[in-house]
Amino acid sequence: MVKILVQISKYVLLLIMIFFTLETFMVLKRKSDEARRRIMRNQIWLMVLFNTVSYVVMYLQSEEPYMILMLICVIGYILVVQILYRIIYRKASLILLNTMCMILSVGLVMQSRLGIDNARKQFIIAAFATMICFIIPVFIRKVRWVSKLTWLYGIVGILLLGAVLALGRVTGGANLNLNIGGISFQFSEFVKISVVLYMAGMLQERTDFKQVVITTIVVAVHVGILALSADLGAALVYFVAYIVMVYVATRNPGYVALGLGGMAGACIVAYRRFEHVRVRVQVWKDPFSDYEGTGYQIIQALFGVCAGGWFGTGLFNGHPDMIPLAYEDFTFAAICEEFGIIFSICLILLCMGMYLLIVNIALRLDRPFYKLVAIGFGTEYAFQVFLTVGGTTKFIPMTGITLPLVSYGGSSLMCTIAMISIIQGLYIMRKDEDEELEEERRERIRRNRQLQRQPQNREQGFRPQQYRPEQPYRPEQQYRQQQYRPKEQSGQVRQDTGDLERKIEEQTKEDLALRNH
Amino acid sequence: MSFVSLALFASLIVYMVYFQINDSETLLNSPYNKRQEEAAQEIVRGSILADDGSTALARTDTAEDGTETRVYPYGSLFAQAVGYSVYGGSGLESSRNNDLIQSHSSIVSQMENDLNEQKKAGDNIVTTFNVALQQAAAAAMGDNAGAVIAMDVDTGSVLVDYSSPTYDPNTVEENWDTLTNSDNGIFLNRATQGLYPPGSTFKIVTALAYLRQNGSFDNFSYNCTGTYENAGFTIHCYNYEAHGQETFASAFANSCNCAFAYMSQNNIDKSTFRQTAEDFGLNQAIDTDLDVTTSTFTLDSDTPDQLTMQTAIGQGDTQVTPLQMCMIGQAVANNGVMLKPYFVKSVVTAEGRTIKTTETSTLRQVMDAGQAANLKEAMRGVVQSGTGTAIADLPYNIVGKTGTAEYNSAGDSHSWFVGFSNTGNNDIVVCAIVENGGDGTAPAINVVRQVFATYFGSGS
Repeated sequence: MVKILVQISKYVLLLIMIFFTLETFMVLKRKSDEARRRIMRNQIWLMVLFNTVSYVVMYLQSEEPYMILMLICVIGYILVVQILYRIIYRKASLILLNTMCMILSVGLVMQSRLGIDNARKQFIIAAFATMICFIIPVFIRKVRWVSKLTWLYGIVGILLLGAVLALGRVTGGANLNLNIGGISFQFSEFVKISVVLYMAGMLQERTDFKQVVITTIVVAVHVGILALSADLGAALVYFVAYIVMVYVATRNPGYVALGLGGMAGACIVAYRRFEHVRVRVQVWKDPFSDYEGTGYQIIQALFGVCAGGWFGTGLFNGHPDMIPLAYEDFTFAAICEEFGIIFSICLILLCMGMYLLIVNIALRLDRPFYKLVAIGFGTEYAFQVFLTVGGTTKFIPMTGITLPLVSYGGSSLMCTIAMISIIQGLYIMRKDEDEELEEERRERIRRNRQLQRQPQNREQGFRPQQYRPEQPYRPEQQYRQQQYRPKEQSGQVRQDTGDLERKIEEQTKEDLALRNH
Repeated sequence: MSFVSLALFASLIVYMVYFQINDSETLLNSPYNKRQEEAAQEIVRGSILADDGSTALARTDTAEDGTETRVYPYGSLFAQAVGYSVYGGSGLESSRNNDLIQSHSSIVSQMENDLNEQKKAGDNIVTTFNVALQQAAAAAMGDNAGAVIAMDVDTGSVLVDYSSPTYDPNTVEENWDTLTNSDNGIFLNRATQGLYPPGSTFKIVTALAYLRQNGSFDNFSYNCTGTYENAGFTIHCYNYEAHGQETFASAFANSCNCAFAYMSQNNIDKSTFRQTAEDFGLNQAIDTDLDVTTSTFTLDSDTPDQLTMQTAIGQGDTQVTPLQMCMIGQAVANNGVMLKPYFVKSVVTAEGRTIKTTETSTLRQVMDAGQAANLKEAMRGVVQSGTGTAIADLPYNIVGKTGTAEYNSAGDSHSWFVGFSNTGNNDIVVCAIVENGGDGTAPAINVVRQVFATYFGSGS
């Protein structure tokens, strides 16, 4: 009887995944707010259903009571996060939040399947990271000087990576983690954030050749240290983010060509110079030539990928335990095995949806620093997905990188959640600004009308305090208004509002263009 | 930029679909894939059936308490061909393992099994083996070491695959240590994997090489004195018999070593010889249901004359499997078209629905029909008036070629015979080798004779 339930459940889970993925893409297109909200609510139900079916099936198969506990925790997490966002960050991108929760759910189900201990740790880290990252959007609103700390990001990044390399050398191995107080940190994950902040800081104002060269040198140091630490996956991710960010900042395809040329050159040098690079390429070309040794992992992963066929074996019916590192580098193979190829393709599409959402947000940001940060994070995320999925399926050589939000790994999970929170913060800020601009515009119209009626009251009309009581109280908005007030009082009002007007028009055009896209 | 990223994602998805369609079957069947063994836990291993589709050569019996036993009702008769399933397996049990541990039973019966918490019934394999013929071959071989193989001339299906000495696969597990320590190659399927010097049976190949180069047998004549000396090396006929003045036909019928050594020096280029041997399948790997050792032919333009002379009479460095000699006979019988031998006719579900069927496939056209007719005529002479007269009394126009292959310097020899019925309808080709058979070609002829007699149902 359980067997039949499991068989039915795998089709149910697949259908849920397909619906969820379709809905994510529908939101990317759908115009009406009401339709969007309906889809968002729908997705929450789909997530609850997905987790319920998964954990109940796993409970029936394994008779492990922890499964039910995990179910309660995960559903609790989803609901709490959704409610908190709706209360505190009403303007956050809920679709981005939903997509993150769904990918996280898939990851937690797979981790629970592979080993309840890891799943528990993973869940605690996810919950902890999400809670901490709740302050990020506020932080972004309040602390404007984050864009001024460019060199701090660069130096911190190099120091962290250098420390790992140095300690790795001392202990004599390619150890990518540092243990601090019993917790293992993978610094290359944290530096993923700092390096993007550094590049955004460097390229936010000046994009002349000299500036690009300086940026390149610092990024090259990052990448070089990673290459020496044998962390090729991370090195590639940084490098691709660098190329994309330089292109977005300069719009100069020459830099892209140079960058790609440099990457090709670096790959050739790495291939010649590093034994482990040659081994990986050799394994990719013919894993069976060294089945017992270097080819073992990827072959087991490939066996896993094809074991489930299109529809998967069903939870606890496959043997992902035969895949080495199934919980880490090869999680995608384990998902292919038990959930099937179609589900896995949906997961790829969902990751792609996540990337598109980030790019969409980036396009709406007009401050270069924030735009570049969003583009940088989006690129890192997308390329990481590409490397790990491509590597697991032997589409490209294995780079030893994990699938963000799905694979086991505290640092990676924490940093990915932090990145998404930063992007949420940027999005919220943008919406606030839009709203303020809109408000300013309305105000100006009213003021003009007033001016026409009573030209002598001109000065009064500029005081925004008069209009404040009409608006609901929101702390971050008050902050924005306080910031703007001195400017208004300084007598540059006319010019400012002129600028704002232009901005509004541009933004409206941009928004329209986006929606019509 | 985002288009590039989207292209990367799209390429991943396209690749995964391609991978699933194109590569997954190979990976699933990979011998390294341990998931097979795990899958087997859920399925009652399918049966291996004889060519009638019902007689079990191997089946799994489930006791009341759920213990499963693999049973081989014919004991040692099909030991090497069907194989055993423990310790990694052998024979068809190993090579077609994947079919046996999959279930293509109807969804309904699978659901029924799931509901009753019963294992599913694995698919069955219908082999091409004929029990009666295999029994005849085994009886005729008796205690001799050697191998018998028989193929259908028109399809390439293998009716008999018997190897001796043999063992009882029912007790492999109990007797594992004794069996693995025995030094008589008891697990070896001599029919497909045993390499032997072909002896005079190889004169079929030499004859085709002659025919290719000279167009017909008509112009050949040779006066045999019992020995032929060339390049400081002497070839002699069996028992130093002097055959006197011979045509090609009589030299072939008499299996005259001197005549063939002479023709290798005077009438056949080494390149033609090698090409002919390779067209007949030597040095060519065969990909079929069972592991087949590739027969080897090493002659090339640098080969010294002495070795060429030996090669022409089937000695020298040439090594063949009985299956290879059988295939050579099959090509001659089938008007020059060599077919791929196969051992599994079809795979069927437990309810008997056919899932896949083996189709007859052509390996290559070794010779044209005219050349095949010439060779048949020469081989007919062997049985009518030459070294194979011991089988001439069978009433179905048997043609063939005898061989005594010396395998050591002491002159001990294996006894060979490869022959086929030439009735034009449902013909079979049979090849037997009796190791160290003594008494020239007689032991092998006798074995082949028994198989034919059983096949045509006339007793002997």
